[in-house]
Amino acid sequence: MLILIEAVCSFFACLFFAIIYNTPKKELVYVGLAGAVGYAIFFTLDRYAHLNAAGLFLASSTICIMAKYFSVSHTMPKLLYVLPAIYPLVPGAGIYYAMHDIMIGDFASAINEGMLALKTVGIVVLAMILILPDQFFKFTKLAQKRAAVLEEEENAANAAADAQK
Amino acid sequence: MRSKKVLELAVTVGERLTFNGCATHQTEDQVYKVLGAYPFTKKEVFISAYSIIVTVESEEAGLLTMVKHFEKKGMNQERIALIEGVVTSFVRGHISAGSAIKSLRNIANKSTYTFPVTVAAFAISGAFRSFMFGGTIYDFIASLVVGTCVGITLQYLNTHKLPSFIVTMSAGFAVGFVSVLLRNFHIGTNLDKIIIGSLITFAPGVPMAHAVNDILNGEYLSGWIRSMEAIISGVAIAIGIAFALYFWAFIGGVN
Repeated sequence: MLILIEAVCSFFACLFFAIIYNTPKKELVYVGLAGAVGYAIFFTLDRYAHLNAAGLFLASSTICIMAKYFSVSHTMPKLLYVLPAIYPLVPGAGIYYAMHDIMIGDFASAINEGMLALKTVGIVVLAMILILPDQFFKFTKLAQKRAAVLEEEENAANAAADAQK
Repeated sequence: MRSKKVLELAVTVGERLTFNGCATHQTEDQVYKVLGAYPFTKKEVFISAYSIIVTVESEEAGLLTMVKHFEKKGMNQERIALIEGVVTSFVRGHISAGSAIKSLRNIANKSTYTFPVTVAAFAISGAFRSFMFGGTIYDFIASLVVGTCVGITLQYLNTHKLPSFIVTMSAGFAVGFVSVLLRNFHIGTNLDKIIIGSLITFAPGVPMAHAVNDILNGEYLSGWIRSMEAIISGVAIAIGIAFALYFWAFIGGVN
């Protein structure tokens, strides 16, 4: 039940964060969906199985796979879906705490927090660079279908323009 | 001459994409796609976070090079998608280089969401994030108010030409100031949850992920530049919040 509440909160948080990043209106729901699923996976594995790193990696992988699927079926760049969706996973607070500790003079905590933040970001981006490039797997059939649909639309638009002339 | 037009289009595409926050690897791909439309004998592209250099060699114009350097950066995914659309239609031969440059200029002034919608987005996403961190419903409401102030501050200061350090510091000051103000009126319960949730919307979490993405893809220079930006913006937020908390300690007291 708690997982569901957290997933819904993450859906709305990612959706409004995507507005800050100026994503097109049609893609907002899909971004929120990716964010909700990703954070739900991370929350389950982190809170109930105590697997922090594995949770981050699996959540980020799921987000990247969903981003690839959406980017092929909507013809949009992939990072458009990924960046707002990893917003609940990456440690914005960690970097703030690290700088705050440096200002207080507590350098041990600062390095502690900073390295933890760097480790978290590193795991999330590791999943991104393994899955996002087209070398390892590609939604080829979906891409072909989408290219066919786009060509049909283009031919229809050209035919309409010629008919108008 | 066509090669000069194509070169100018390539440099403009690279500049616009990086200005709107695209990853360096992706920008290079798009620039190479544009340069592929004309049979150059040699082409070299160098993109770092704030500048782009393109050198091409062709039979009609010899060796040409063009450099563009720009100052500030933002994050606008819709413009990135539109620019990629322009590149695709240019490469397929639907539009010429000159009209592509014109459409890039039109895209540059396009804004997707109005001022109130962005302020509401800052407020609501910060509020949900506070809730996710373990805050109560009162923290949610307090975060809405803090987020609205932050959104107004950031949007207003971004329209003026100020260094981004000062803009981020003012936003941090706004977060600290309004949070303690609300706390003094007994509206929120956990002060630190409200502060963390509201500042995560502009804290360098996602820009840091963008920077590490560039580094792990092999673009060490632009990755390092972006991570320096992230660290400095973290410092700016910490300084801003410290200002606000010391200001309140000086005035009366933090409850």
